[in-house]
Amino acid sequence: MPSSPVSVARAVEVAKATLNGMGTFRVVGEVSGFRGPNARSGHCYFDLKDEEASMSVIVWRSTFAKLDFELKDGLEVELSGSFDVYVRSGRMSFIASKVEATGEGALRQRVAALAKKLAAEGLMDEAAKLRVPAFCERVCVVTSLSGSVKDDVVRTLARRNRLVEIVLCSCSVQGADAPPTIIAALKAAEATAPDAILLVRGGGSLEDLMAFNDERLARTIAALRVPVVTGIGHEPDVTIADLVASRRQSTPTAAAESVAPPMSQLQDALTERSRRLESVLARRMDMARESLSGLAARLPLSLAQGVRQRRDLLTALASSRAMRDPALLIFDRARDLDRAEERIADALPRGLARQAELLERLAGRAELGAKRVVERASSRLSALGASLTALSPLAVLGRGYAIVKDERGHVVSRASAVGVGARITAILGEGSLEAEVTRARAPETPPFASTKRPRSHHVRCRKDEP
Amino acid sequence: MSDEKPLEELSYKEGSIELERIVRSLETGDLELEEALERYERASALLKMLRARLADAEQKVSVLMAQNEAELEALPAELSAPKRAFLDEE
Repeated sequence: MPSSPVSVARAVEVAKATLNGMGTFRVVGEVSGFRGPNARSGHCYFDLKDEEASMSVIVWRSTFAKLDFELKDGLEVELSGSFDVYVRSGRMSFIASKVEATGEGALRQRVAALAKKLAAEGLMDEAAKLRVPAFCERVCVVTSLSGSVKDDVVRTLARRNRLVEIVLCSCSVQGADAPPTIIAALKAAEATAPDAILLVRGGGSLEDLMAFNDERLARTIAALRVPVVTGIGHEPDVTIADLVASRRQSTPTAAAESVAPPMSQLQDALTERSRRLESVLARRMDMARESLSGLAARLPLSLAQGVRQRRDLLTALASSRAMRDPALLIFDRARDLDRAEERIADALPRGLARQAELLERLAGRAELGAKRVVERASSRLSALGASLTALSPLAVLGRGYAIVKDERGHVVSRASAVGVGARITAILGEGSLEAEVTRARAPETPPFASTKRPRSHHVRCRKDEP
Repeated sequence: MSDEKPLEELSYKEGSIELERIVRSLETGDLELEEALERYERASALLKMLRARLADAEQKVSVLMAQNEAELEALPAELSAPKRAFLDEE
């Protein structure tokens, strides 16, 4: 390195190059001064520290977005990245390209991921879980036999309900080897078909309870044919085993209490049933007695009543008309016959009168109809007469024409049809003339063809009144 | 009922359920008197048995499986007393 002074820019540049040359490495420490992502840039700035030192850290927005846990003060993290220098301020920062939680944070992260996965598979669906009987007569307690927990459970049940039979199944409750022993104990417990299995453990750190966050254990619990009640750790501790169990209680004692009603309740139930039993029997006996005494009271009465009823019946029969005066029956029949005869006799004239009336009505209608037909015909006739008059050739005669007929009465329309001396009749508008043909003339040529005088018959007429 | 279990074979819960059933059937009141009396007799016996069980109840505790001898040693005397034949030592 030259001994002459250099500019600030150069100095920082040298430092930056040196730091960049260090490459990537991993640093473990505690988050401090975390302020959340920058509102504008989305990048995160915080310090990573341990007991002796501290360094400023930058997590770019893209890296921050990938985190599946919450960054916050006090969290232990492992960062992967490299140092860099911001030239303008000369400040050195660690640029973290990867952030992972370690210690408890890492554990919680794993547990949360597993819980999410199992929930998605439906292992935590309340509807699919087995129901824990209100009164479990036999329970298997799966826990460590060396701890005080089993004593707590036994003591709790001894106080609450001594009828509950307790079967202890031992397992390890801590450490990496614990889950298989818990699984084995659960299966052994299931094989004895108890009413419920208590899976219990005393309190401990998150790390201590990790055995109950095991995936195989969770699946075993969910698949058991016996309901599992958990009491693991203390109130705020929730493990995966708690989440998949039929019922989660916060402590072993609470779990033990939840499987059976207290003796006092059983005692009360017995007392109440005894009371009901006595009262219902007393009522039933009263009923039987009452019904019996009722019957007993009715027995002599019923005998007397039976006799009375029969006597009344006989009296009624004896006083009937038939018994009193049998001839009346014959009289009744005779009267009925008379009535029938009268009705038959009445029926005939009534029928005739009805027929006559009907005929009369029909005759009236026929007359009316006939009159109408005649009227219609006569008016039609006069109409026809009028048209006939209008069409009649006689009407033409009125205008001066005449019809000529020969002696045989044939109409003469050609002069050549009659000879001279023949007698003809000319019918006029009014009356007719008898005449004799004196001369016949040939048909005239049409006026336009010839100017010759037309030839005609000469007729001698005799007046002939019609 | 012909399928009645002898009292000593009933668990407390079974006895309790049967008792409740009998009381209810009596309360509906359509039993013949003889049957009602029979039912009452059975109910009385059940009641007596259940009361006795409640009074004399002693917690039964047994060990199905233990991890090792040390655990068994650690058991208090009154707990380890009914050591069962199926005790399983791994």
